[in-house]
Amino acid sequence: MKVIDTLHILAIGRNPAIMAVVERLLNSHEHWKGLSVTSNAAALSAIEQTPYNIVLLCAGIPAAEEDTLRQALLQRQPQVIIAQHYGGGSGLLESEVRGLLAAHNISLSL
Amino acid sequence: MAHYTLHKAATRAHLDHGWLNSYQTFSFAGQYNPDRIRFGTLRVLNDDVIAGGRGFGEHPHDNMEIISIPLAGTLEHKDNMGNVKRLKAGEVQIMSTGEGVFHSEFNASNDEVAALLQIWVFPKTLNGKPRYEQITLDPSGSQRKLQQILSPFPDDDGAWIQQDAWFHLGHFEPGDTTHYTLHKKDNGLYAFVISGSFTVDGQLLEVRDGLGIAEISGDIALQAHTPAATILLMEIPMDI
Repeated sequence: MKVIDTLHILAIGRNPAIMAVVERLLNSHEHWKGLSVTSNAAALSAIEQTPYNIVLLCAGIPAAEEDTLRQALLQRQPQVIIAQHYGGGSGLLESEVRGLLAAHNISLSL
Repeated sequence: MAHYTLHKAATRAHLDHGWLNSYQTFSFAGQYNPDRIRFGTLRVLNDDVIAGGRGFGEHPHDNMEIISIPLAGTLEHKDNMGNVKRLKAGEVQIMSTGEGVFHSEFNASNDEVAALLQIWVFPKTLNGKPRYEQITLDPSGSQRKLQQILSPFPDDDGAWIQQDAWFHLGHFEPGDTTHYTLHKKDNGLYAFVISGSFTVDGQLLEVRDGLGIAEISGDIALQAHTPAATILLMEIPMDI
């Protein structure tokens, strides 16, 4: 089990209004630190600066770009967990993240 | 051989916010149960009661097919596609949220509660064009038989969603029997008892119990046991 103090989550999507909500929801958790971006360039820049644990792929990323984006993210940070986010709001966000942590044997030191 | 997943009503997560009393079959919002994430592409089955004058303020959704089935009262819907609608029992609301939608759902009454089933199904493809649909069901269509309320096809009975899913609703009397045949061979079926009790494929279900059936090889038999028994059948793909 890998134990971390803060969970760093990068959310990538194309709808600025939705991404602002996703970022606010991520940061409403005491030990989560979230950033949302709306372009692939901003995502790659962000992952070069911060050791993100999880990247959430949100709505609007064209299928043709997704594989390239995943590869570019993994090239910069091979351990990062990349997952599709569904729902665009608070309904599924927490259980998606908690499911990813459980699946990858990561826990937060609370 | 069929594989059964039984969700007894009392095992659902319960949230009471005062204005919202919600029973949730699968993990939702702050509730997390790793054994209750989804059944196939059925991800959310919330049984919500909203107090008078209250509701869900404007919030976003994307990449999810959201089906609302009102059970009591009237809801007022507004969204950023320009829809302003009222929704009541006997109607069904579909939101294909695709690349993104903002909406609000409020109880239209200040005095009486509004009750609804809120159902989310993973879409067949991501980032579709958002769409709103609301239909009125023929009340005679579900009396002592199953009535199709949604399908994947715009020109078929009921509403349509962007998934290979078929939903049916039926109101039955004691001793009534019927059967359900899958539209698509590898799909699963989730039965949810809205009122009364039923036997579904040999499994006894009481009010608000849910039963997921996978690896189905033949017809699914149903029998009602109580007066005015109502069941919702959701045929959904098992793989996202």
